Parts: sequence; structure tokens; C-alpha cells
Amino acid sequence: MLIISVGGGKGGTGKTFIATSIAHHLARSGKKVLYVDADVESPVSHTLLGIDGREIVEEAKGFLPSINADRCVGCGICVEKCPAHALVGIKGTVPTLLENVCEGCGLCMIVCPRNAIKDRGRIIGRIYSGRKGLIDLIQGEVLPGVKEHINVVLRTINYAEEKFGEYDYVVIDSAPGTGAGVWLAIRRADIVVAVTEPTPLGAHDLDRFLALSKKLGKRVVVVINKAGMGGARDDLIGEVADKHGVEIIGRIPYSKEVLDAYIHGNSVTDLYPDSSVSKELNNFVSKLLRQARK
Amino acid sequence: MSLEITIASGKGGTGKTTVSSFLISYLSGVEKRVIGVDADVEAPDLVIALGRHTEIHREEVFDSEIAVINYDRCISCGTCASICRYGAIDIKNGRPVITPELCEGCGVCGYVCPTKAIDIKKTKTGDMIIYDTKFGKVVTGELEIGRKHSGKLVDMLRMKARSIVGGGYIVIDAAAGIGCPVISSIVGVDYLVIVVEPTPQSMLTASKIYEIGKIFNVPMGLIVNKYDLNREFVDEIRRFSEERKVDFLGTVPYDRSIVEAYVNIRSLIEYAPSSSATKSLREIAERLLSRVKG
Amino acid sequence: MWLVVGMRVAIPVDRDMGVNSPVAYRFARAPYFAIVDIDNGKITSISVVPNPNAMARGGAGPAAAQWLANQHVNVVLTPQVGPNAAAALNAMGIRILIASPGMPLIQALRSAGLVRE
Repeated sequence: MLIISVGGGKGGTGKTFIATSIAHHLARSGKKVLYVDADVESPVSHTLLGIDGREIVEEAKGFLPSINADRCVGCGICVEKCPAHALVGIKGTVPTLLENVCEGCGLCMIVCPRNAIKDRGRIIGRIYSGRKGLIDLIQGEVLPGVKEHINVVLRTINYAEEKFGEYDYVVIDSAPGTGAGVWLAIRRADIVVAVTEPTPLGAHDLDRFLALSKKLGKRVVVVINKAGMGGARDDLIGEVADKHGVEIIGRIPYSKEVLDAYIHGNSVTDLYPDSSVSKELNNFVSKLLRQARK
Repeated sequence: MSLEITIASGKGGTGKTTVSSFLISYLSGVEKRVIGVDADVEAPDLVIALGRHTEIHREEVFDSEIAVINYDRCISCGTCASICRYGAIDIKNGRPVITPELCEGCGVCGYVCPTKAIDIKKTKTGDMIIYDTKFGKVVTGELEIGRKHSGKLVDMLRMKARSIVGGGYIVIDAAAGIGCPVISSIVGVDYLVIVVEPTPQSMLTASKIYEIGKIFNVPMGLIVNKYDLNREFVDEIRRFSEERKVDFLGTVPYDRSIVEAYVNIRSLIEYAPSSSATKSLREIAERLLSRVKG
Repeated sequence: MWLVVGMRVAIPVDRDMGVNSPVAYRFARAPYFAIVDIDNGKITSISVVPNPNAMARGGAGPAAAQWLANQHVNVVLTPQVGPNAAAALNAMGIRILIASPGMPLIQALRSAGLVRE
């Protein structure tokens, strides 16, 4: 069982496109694939995997206090101790909770000398499952306005991890950026794929992403998506890759076929199997698998 | 008395940085005082899009609090591990180990520890950097890789920008996604611009940004970037805006000058003052200004 | 315009100049707060205090509201207040009135009909 994590730093470079392409390639060669969509703030993988009917398998819950007015004596300790300043109230009165400010740490419940606070809980996100052929999907989604989005990433990956053993391959689609959510998505990987675009912004963010991967001691390969796009500068990516001692193993051309497949939620290798894009994708995935097995 | 305008999108790569950088260059041209805030602290790109820039100030931000276990006092009772709501404490080889990347610094573990073996220490959140550009200053944040607490860093950047500009405009380039740093970029601003591309995937997440804007009562407008990549979809997007009373600010065609400008370390307005994208963006900026002032 | 007996008004100000302190644009992170006691349309006492939340990163709005509530403020006179601060003030029954920034606080109090001297 091999775990492949896909990231890149910059948003919109095509992580999901590349990750789903890897999954499609593997499924076509008869392998069982678990696809984990950990981009919980913007999960769109199901549209590229052609999965219409997703099922909610878990509602991720966060802590939210409710104060029992009968037990509360208005001592104000919870107000004073709340690290987020989410509880307000004049001494002698039952405090009010500002839901938008609460970060779900649960300290209020612990410090209350009268046991007047309990967890009424709130849904902070959902975990979906779906299936298309040999590809199973586990996908996390955080609700808008929730601050503990990392908890949803953690729950999604933990939920999926219990099933890893049932598959030949696991493909983890991470969020853009280089924060804790991405860290979680790549920390168990056997190999990391960094997806970038041949622009100064792509290069700048790739640099940070490679630093994160290095920090975790991961093997990384780079793939340039939208190669040949207007104004493209492959050399900028080359510089960053050299700096980190990693190889560029694919250059996927910017093409109408990709956009078409993307918009219509299809795999470009299914829709346009003879296109140069599909050939490049197949070459890239073959190289990736060879590298991963070394 | 600054007017804060945030540019967000939900999905990455739709063109937030293109729009924010254009808006900054445009505003400085019509003799308005303007300062930029790069709130994409995991992958900051704004100054690159503004052309030549020089760093004039850098300071380390120590705003993250992380729990640290003092193993001399720890009795491995495991209470901390069971109480942590962020999954940051595991039992490894019989004793509790904190994963700093997941720690919120809320202090609950320290509170419940029977031997007071946990301290809450300040660690580095990241850097705050001020750049000078041709169009005014930009306050940028660089989050330490693998960190949480990006929301706090964004709050700091906004505070700094307000103290520098005192009147005029603050243009905030938000991160991708809908999590903490994006919420921190939207709370209390005067106008939210949602940048989308004409794909269903982009609209999926854009509607979540809209939800956040609604929660925080912020007036909103929408721009369709690279609209000519899927013209048929633009009408649906227009309807989406109308139904929700979101200003439809305009469309921008796909234009290679945008990337070429970055590559030449020039702002778009300097590099290609009469390109199709520049013309559209100018009209959008005018429309936006009249909405914000009116 | 209304007058209330026994009112304590908080006003965010940029500098300590007593009754001429200029009204600050910001609320939660204003450098100072002027706490003004008013009885029957007349100022009976005023103190300008540094705002302990001025440098707070997150949660400054509710923190400022709580700090003012702890001092028995029942009215806030401010040019603007963020959504979390507003929710906190409302929850504690503290009235929010709007002032124009920059003017001396005595003028803001007069314009709001709280003071008539």
C-alpha cells in the first residue's frame, strides 16, 4: 500500500486535477484506490472523479458551551478565563456566549466551579464517502464560519486512515498553502507530489511547500501543470527545484481538453485518450510510481 | 478612517492577487492613499504582482502559544491527552507527547494537569514584513510553515495597515479557502469582492464565501475572471449574484499579459496599460469605487 | 435626544485631552477610553484611561466590551463598532450611540443629546 500526497502551495495550480488523474490512471490498471480529499475548505474532487451520489458518513462536531442558568451564580470565572473572549457578562448575571468567536476549546466547562456548563456541541463539518469503479472517495468539508477547520482535516484523515490497509494506493489531495492542514495531509505520505504552474507566483509558493516537505523528511517530485501557458517561465520552477534537490517529472500542457474535462467533471484521459495531455499524464504517473518504489 | 476592501474567492487560482494588485495600482493612480495587506500568509504573493518592491521593515511575530510538557513533573496520567479538543496530544511509549503543529495554546491541558507539568509558551507565529512598492506600502505576513494561528497574524497585519495609512484605502488580498485567516480578512471590512472563474468548482466555494460575508453583514460584489474560458456559464453566475443582491462588478478576459507582467516584475497597469484585461479591470475598479463610496 | 439620570458613557479617544479628547475612529483597539459620568445633562466626572485591549490580537471587541462592562459603563458613544463587539455590548445591555470621529468628546456628547452645557 502506497500513500501519495498531492500539494503545491499556490492555489489553483491543479492539485485536484493531478491527484484525480493519478487515481484514474491507477484504477485503469486495476488497482484499488482510496482518494482522500483533505481540502476541506474547498472540496471539489467529487466533480472530477465523476461521483454524483455522495453519502455523509460522519458529522464532525466541535465543542460549544451552553450555560445552565439555574446552576450559574454569575461568578464570571468562565468569562475571565476564556482564551477567545467568547463569553461576556456582568458579574452576577449569566454570561452570554458569542458563537462566532468561540473556538471550541472547552476551558469554560472545566473551570466552572458550579458545573453549570455543558457541551451542546455544534457541527463543524462533514465527512462524505463516494465511489466510482475502483476509486473510493473520503472527503471532508468544513462549514462556512467555523474557526477550527484544522479539526475537520484531522477528523477526515483519521477516518480515512482506518481504511488505508484495504487499498493498493491512497491518494491524498491537500489544501493550498503551507499551514497545519497541509502538514497533516503530507505527514504520512510515502511520496509527495508538488503541483506548480510556470509563473513567478507558482515558483514562490512552491519554494515554501518544498521547505515544508523537507521539514517532514519527505520524498518529493514536482510536476508543472499548465506548461506552455501564456507567459510561462519553466526556468523559474527549475531554479526552485534545483535549490531543493528535487526532480521535475512531468510537464502537463495547458489545453482546452483539460478545461473541457474539468468543467464537465470527466477525466481527460477518458474523454481525450489520444491527446498530448493524456500522454503526458500517463508518462508522469508512470515516472511517479517508479520513483515511489525506489 | 480607512476604507477596507477585501478580495476573496474560496477556490485558489481564480485571480484574487491579480485583482488586488490591480486595485492597489489603480487607487494610487487616482491619487488615493492606499496600502495593501497580503493576508495569504501561507503563500504570500501580492508584492510580486505589484512589480518592483523593497523590504523596509521585518519583525518576528510571537503570538502563538504552544503547550510544552515538563517531563520532570509529568506522571503520565494521560488527562491532558484525553481533554485536548484539537488532537494535539497523543500517548507515545506510555507518555503524553504534544504535536506543536496542532496545538491551539488554549491552556486547557495545563489547567487539568494534576502536577502542573504543562507550561504555555509563546512561539513564533511568523513574520510581518512591510514592503515599499511604486503604488504604496504593502503589509505582508509569512506564517511559519506547518503552523496554525494564521487568523491572528492576519489580524495583526490589518492593525498595522490601519496604523500606517490612517485614512484612504486598505486592499486586503485574502487567502484561498474559507477558514480562519479568510474569516479574519472579512470581519469588519467595508466591502468584499468575490473573484470567481467560470467553473462549477469555483462557484461551489464562492457561495461559501458569500455565506461568510452574510454572517458578518458585509456588502459584496463579484467578478468573473477568465470569463471567456467558459462563456456559457457567465449568465448563471450573473443570476447567482442578482438573486443574492451581490453587485455584479464585471468580467475579465483571460489575458497572457497578466502572467507576462509578473514575469517582467511589473504591475499589469504599467506593463500592458491597454490590454483587454487592463481595460476590463479599470471599468471594474471604477464601478467598485462608486459602490464603496456610495 | 434623551437624557438619563446616572449615566456612565464610554468614548474611545485617540489622546488624553480631558473633555477635548478627540473621538477615535476605532473602538476595540482605541488607545484610550474616556469614562464620563453624567447626571441630568451635566458631566460630574471624567477619566481618560489607557485601553488594555489596544494591542490585543483576536477577540479584542468582546474583551473591550467586557472591560467597559466591568466598570459599569451603560452607554458607548463611538463612530463604529465591529460585529463581535456590538454583539457583546448588546448582550450586556450597553447602549450604542454613534459619534463622528475626530471631534472633541464634549462636542460628541452634545450632538448625541447626552450633555447640555
